[in-house]
Amino acid sequence: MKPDDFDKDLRDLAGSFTLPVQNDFFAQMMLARRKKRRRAIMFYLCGLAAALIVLLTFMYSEGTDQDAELKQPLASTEMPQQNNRVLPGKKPHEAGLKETIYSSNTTATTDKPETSKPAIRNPAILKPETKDQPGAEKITAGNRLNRLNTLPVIKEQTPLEIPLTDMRAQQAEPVKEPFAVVVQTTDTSFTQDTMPDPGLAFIVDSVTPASGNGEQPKIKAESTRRIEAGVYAHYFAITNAVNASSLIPLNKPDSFGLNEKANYAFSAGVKGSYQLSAKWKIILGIGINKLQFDKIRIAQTKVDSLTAYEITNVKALRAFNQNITEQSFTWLEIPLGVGYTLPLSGKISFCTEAGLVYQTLLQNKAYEFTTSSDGELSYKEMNNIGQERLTKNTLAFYLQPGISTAITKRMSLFTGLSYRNQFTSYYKKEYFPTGSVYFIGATAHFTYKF
Amino acid sequence: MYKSSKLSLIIKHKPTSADERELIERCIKEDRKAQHVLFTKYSSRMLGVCYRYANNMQEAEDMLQEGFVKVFDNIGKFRFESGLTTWITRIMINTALNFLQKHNKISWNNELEPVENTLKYSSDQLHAYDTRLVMECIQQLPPGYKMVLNLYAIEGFSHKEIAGQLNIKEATSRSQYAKAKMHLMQVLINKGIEFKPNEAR
Repeated sequence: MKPDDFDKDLRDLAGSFTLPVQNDFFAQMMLARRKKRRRAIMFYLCGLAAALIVLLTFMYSEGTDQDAELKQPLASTEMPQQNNRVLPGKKPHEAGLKETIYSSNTTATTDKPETSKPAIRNPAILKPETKDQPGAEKITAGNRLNRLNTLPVIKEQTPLEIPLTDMRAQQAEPVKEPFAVVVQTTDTSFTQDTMPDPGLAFIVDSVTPASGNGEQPKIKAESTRRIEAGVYAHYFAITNAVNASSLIPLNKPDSFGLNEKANYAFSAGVKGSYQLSAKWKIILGIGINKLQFDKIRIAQTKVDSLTAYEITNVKALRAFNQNITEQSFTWLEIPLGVGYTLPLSGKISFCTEAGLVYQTLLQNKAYEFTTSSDGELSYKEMNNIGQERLTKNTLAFYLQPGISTAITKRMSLFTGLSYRNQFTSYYKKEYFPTGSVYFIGATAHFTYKF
Repeated sequence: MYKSSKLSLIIKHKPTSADERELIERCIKEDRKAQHVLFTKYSSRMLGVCYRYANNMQEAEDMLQEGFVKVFDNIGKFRFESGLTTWITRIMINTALNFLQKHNKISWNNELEPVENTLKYSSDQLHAYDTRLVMECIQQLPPGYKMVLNLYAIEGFSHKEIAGQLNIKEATSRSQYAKAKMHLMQVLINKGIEFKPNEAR
């Protein structure tokens, strides 16, 4: 079926068909577009934050597992062969073993099977520590129960794979080498009353197993907390930033110079750090940086006796019959740097952070204000005008010396000075060779160790 | 669901002029004034495009807004290989199709019986009437008819392309078009346009 005359005429008609668009449609559309962009940015930031949380959680859980592994005493299957003689036969639970075996530090005995008393689950026969080992301690009536509450948690232990009959046969011959019974202290059934003879048991803090060749395996020190995350904020009260006004149309000459000073600059965001060593760490963050020019404090008008209305207390640039004020720039910033920590005393330490900040321009905004015949001011917001004069991506160096105070074991607060120097200008050189721009202010960081 | 492939217009346009190129470059740099110029230049025509697919003016304006947001967001991807009008029209059509699909505004008549064209159309007969009147007649078509008629008769896509884009059978597209055409002629007759009986059939 090929297009016929009807189709062709229809196409001609439709091609020339237009409909009038409302005057404010463009403004509404741009507003909708801006909202959509903001939503996209928020979505991106939330996604980034969620990813960061997942990553930190993953790393944290890995660290916890390592810690638990290090703290966990050896199970019976990991016992040295000389102390853990795995004998053939049924497992205790298969044989219906209900007796609880306790031992003395001199001779193992099973003469007193306490079948009527609650069993202590999963006893593991361990090699006792020598007197040189600080963890070895004989339980006494005075310290026994206190120690039970302070002992490290012993996680799942495999059942002793020694049948009772074999155990009895084995124990008929006194074991010259003393051994201890480690009980699962999380077992709530284990009380003073359930202990048949408190003097016969050792409770040890930690156990260092011997390897097969008799060498003591090295146990790693407990891993330190290396991951930190938190929020930061900078307030830059001192700066030489000047407003070159990107709002002037390109096809018109500039009518004024660099005469508008920055009111303030503010930066805030989240950051994470990784501890490289006891003193050094690497830091990465993301945040928003805002530079505000000449914020209006008071806006009022009065009638000049000779000419017209005079605006007071409003700092503004006048360009081509436009009064422009409150120009601001908003950047997305990504600081990357290193931190150095020098402990001073107790919870106080001297910290310095230095590195680079990458910034990408999100928005520049300003207001055009006009005065009505009765002297009232009205403002019109203008966004992203004259961005062809601006540098989209900039790079800065930052330095932050200060004091870090440990609030708790995991939380700390850093306060100090903040210095930032732009490597690249906000304005393209061909338009405004503004040179280096610096910011000096105060900073505060709140961090949490994972 | 629509396939990811985008419709390609066969309408040829003059290449991008130097002024248009400059305008595009300024739009890429988010120059608000340039964006306004671009919008003013194309919005009326594109609203007409959207109106052909929409069920009412409100929908057409929603499509136009969504379409121009896409235009400004993606104008950096414009490669000057086709005319700017073609590119913007393509975005508008795809936006309109997505809009209708998203809001479940497309319904298909699955009867595939061939429809005989019993009316004869004389060339340029439509030009004697107001464009707006003809467009309003198109507006009265059921959504499925209207879409296929727009894509085939006005935009110039083949039934194969339409079937691929709308995820329907090619026969469905042909059938919908034939019915849409007869339906439209009937609406036009009701509006006072006369068609002679087709003597060839």
